[in-house]
Amino acid sequence: MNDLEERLRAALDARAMTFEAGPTAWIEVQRRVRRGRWVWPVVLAALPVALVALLVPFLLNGGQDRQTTMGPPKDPKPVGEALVIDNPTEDRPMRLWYGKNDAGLLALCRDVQYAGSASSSMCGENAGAKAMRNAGWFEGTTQSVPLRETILDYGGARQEVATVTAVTAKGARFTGTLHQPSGAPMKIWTVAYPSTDQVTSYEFADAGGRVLSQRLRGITMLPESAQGKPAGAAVKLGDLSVRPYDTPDRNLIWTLEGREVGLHLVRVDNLTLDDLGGKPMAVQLRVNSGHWFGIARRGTAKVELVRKDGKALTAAVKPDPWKVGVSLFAGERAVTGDLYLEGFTLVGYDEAGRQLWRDDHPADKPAWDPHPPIGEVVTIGEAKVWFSKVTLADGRTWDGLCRSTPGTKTTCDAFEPVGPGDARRLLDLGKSAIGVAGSEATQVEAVKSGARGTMYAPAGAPLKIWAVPYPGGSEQFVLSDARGDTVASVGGDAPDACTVSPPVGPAAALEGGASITHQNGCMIIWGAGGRFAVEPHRIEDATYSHGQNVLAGWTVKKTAKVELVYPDGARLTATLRSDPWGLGFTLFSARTTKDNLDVHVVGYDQAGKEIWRR
Amino acid sequence: MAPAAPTFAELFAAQYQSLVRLAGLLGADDPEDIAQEAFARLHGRRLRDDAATLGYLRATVCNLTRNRLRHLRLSRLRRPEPPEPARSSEHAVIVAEEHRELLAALDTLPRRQREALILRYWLDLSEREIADAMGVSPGSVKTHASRGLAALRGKL
Repeated sequence: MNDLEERLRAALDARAMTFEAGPTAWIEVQRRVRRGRWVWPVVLAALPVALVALLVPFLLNGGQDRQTTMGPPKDPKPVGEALVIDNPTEDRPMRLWYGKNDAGLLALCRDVQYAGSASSSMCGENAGAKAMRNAGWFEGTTQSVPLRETILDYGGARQEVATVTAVTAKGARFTGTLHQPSGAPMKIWTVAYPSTDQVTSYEFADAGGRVLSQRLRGITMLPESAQGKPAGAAVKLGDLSVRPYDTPDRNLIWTLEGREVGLHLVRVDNLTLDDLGGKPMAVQLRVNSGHWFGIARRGTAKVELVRKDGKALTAAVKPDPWKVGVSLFAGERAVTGDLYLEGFTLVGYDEAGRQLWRDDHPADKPAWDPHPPIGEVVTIGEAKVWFSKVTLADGRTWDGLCRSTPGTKTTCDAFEPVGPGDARRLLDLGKSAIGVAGSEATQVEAVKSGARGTMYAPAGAPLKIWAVPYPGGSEQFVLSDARGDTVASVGGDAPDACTVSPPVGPAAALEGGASITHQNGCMIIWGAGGRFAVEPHRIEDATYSHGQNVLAGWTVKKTAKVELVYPDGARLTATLRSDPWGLGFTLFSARTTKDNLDVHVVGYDQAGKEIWRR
Repeated sequence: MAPAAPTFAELFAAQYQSLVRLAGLLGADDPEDIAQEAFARLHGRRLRDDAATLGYLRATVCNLTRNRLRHLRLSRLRRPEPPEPARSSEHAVIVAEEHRELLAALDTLPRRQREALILRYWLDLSEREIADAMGVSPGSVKTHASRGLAALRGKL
């Protein structure tokens, strides 16, 4: 590129930065869409209701691709491995990966899964050109309308970038995580933060802390209610509040502790719930933050949610408080687990107890599997177990054993290489001890209890799986060959989630070179030079540990500020970040020069009031 | 399996800012209005893939801006100059002397040459993508871009 071309590029960049997106843009686009077209309600009616629950659901192709795929994405062609992370917005896995299109241009792509079987894929534009101009850039977000509790923003970064920091409109800072997927040409960054914070820009810095570039986030999606006028009094259903708004379309907006958690469009011009795209809809369910709620056909007096195990949950119902033709309902008890992964049925009854409608949701079939099985999947009790490759927190890829039970997230435990005459014990599976073994072992037995176990040899799998009934306590498990000769012996007390397997998935990077990993309920604090503390996850206000020049920890309380208070009265403010795993914890760290043995770590709320002290 | 399309909200989050800037660079007096209209027109359409969707958005922004500029030119015959487009307060600082001469020269280029240069040097699009956005052949993209560069060189 010659000098004129470079100058032109720089001049266009500078001029482009002067055009900013306004905060009401999203609302304006929605208005144009709703006023100008009758198409969208038809699209909406074709969508899974679950998806409607999560987004103002402007899908371009209705999420019709619902076949499960395994392994890496195929189009565009991946360059390097895909980064698989938990998407805290959807509580589903998400893939980020670099790909090359037909023209040979590099793009940062992402695949997201939604509850209700839908998924979507999207690639950005020319990542190579973006990297030429900036050390890092914002590529996309999982932000939805209405908001979930946590938002995940992501983008790309050049190799020299060592830290990424999200900066909010009020000046708060969230440290993000940088990932280097094997074989990928550049880094990928992610940052998760509470949806109550409005991130406006990003800073990318090198290992020495020098800021290499700053990028505006450039997009603001205000709450729907902020753009409308109340059109009736709010109604309380348990912890939830619902109120009609004219935006100018009539929307019912649900809030939980002031945060918008659900939205129903009940009137666009002369459109009502009963004629969405000409298809009668009996019910619209929203599930957000464990709460299930929604609107149902006029005349509905009772709503039941029947889970896969046959247990029925009931909802409080308010019949049509604002005469818009719908009954409101909200579950009396929060739901645990993932309704959509399990499958469920909603049933509506009238005053007389007659069934008015029934809405079946078969179990989600994920659009792709983040842990593609190597070999056959075996069933042990109610759990599915299989081998897969897993990426450790330090980026290495090891063999792992994955497990899923109904209503829980799949987890995979990595293990060191196992030879033909070796065996490993992994985390217990319910009331069974479980592990992996090489080819020589054909039987397994518990020494103390005498219980005989089962050896599984899944077709196509690299190793065998062993499982023995185990009531707890110290026990030894002997694996032997067909002749009865001992091949390997493993045992002791029940394994600890913090020590049995190296942490998998991304580590949360903190100021001062510390990081925290999370796996199977175990959080581990790592120092700059290696692990300096292991703390099993306990429900306490806060937990921390310290190394030579750093103090790091986490708190389960909503904390706005963390201070280190030393015996001599000196105070040091720690840097905060939200956890990237969607647990709702706040992580904190500080570079220290003093002896941390007698330090008090103090947490404060937004008003500056002390809320915990350790 | 081809990837499924992103949701409209996600596309908006990822592309809106960039399209506002594209409309601004192309000379729109209200870049946000153009970008919002492009998204509204996209809505409800089923395009074959992600690239086609972005291509559609860019082409719509180019077309709408072109129409708007044509309308403004006609309006100016009867009315005073429209106000400057709303820009951030950093505008004066960011587009400093360093770029002023070059941008002034760019603004004097014929519309197609200006579009080709902006799409190539700001969005880094391929000739095929630029052609799609401008509604011309890839061959004429090359011509417009090289003539535009030559004209810039001559003006500086």
